[in-house]
Amino acid sequence: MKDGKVINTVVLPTGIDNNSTAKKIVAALSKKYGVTRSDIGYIMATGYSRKILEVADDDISEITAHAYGVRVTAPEGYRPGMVVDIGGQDSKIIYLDANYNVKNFTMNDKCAAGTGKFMEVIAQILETTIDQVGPLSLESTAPCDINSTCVVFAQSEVISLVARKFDRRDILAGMHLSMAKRIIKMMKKSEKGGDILMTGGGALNTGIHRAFEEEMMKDVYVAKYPQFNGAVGAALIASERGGI
Amino acid sequence: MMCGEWAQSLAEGINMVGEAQYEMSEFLRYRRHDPALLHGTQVMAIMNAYSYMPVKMWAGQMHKLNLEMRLRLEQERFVGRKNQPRILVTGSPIAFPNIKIPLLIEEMGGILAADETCMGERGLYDPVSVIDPGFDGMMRALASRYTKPCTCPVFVDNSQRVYRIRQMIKEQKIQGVVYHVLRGCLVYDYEYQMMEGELGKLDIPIIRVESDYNEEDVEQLRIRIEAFIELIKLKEYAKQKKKGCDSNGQILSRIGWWFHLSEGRPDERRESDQYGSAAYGY
Repeated sequence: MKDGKVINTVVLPTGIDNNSTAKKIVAALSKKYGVTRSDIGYIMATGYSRKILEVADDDISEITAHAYGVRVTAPEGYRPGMVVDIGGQDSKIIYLDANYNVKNFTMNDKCAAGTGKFMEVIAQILETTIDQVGPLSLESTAPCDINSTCVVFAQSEVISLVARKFDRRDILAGMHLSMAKRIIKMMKKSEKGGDILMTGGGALNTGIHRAFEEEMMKDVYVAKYPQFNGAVGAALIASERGGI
Repeated sequence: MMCGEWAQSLAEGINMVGEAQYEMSEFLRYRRHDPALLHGTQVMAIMNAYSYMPVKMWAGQMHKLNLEMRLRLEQERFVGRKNQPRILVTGSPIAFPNIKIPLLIEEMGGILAADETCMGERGLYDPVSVIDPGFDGMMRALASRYTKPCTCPVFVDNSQRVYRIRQMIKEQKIQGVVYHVLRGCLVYDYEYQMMEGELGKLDIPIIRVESDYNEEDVEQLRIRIEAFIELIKLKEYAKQKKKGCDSNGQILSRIGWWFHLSEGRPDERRESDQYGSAAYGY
């Protein structure tokens, strides 16, 4: 990130050695732009292994990072209100005030319901890939009813739907509705005002975006770099601290 | 005859607890000091000890502790720093082996400034005030002490709890409230909504954390508590920016403020703090 603009992003699976994965990312980016480590003003870590990365100067929690990221990635016309982040293993809702400060947040990370993992598991049963899940579900005309929000129960529910010869597209649409309902349940009724913005890898899925709009009965915005929203936020904080 | 013996032993008991209560009220005065003289986690363990130790022994140890506190105050040996987010813990009891929440609060750079759980000062805050020294009078004093001022949500009318929390927020300059809900301890969960509304009026952020005696949810609690403390810091920063200076009258640049806030990486913090979570294996 430079002058408040995102230069480049890289995504790699964490693997089991998170430290060397982080080093690889820094090395790849440095090589591409012909810079050395000392040319980089500040590196901020965020996310699950943020505390142990040696390459980072400091770390920040995902919640603060996401709230900062929205300042850059929010589409035009977005009034700060609610940020819905659907990640690989958790989903969270962050409530912002008019100045993009965090007012409150709710998180779901003790179970996989309403997370990207849910999509992955269902996609695997339906023999499709995660990037096809969204487009396929948009073709559905009559979404199935999936009542379970628990991944394991939903998995057996989906298998029984497959056995009853339901269309794959309808099952996927039903899955998205079920996820959207699960996340909407997490939202606080008291926190009103502002628009809803979706971030996280889950926001790349057009199906879940549509399900959200249907369930909320209002427009839902999607961040500019959904998957990197937290990273952009961390970079923004890093640029403030590094004085860039 | 028998009644006289009972009265004698009851009076002794009341005096004994009264002594402990006195020592605790002295201790609370030192606890109020900012920067802190003692880690909130240690205070919590001390208050927990009241439930596990003979009262007389506890009062004796508290007396020694108060002398130490006075010494620390005179020599200005503080364990906390200025401008650390001051947190109040309320909700379900945090009983001794399960102290991951206070540990996480202090590891993440906050200071546990007050404890409103029933393992905290609540049990000793009000003394038994005997007016009539007869057996009957003492029984009345005990009954009114142990039922009336108790702010446990098992009682139907519990407006006293909100009052007490408001009082603590004012006295201890609390900036955020961690509302602990033990799985299955539902009475506190019922009061959460009301508490959220009340604290919303005071503009004090509150977070509900659900946990139990297992250790497996430490990481989940960590992210919540860390984000909560960052939230308080940023809120404080926004307030200072409005004023243009911090409490010492220095102008803070944005970057300066960030460095002001960062306490080093947690691994460095852990080494420097012998009572940190590393000692407990978290």
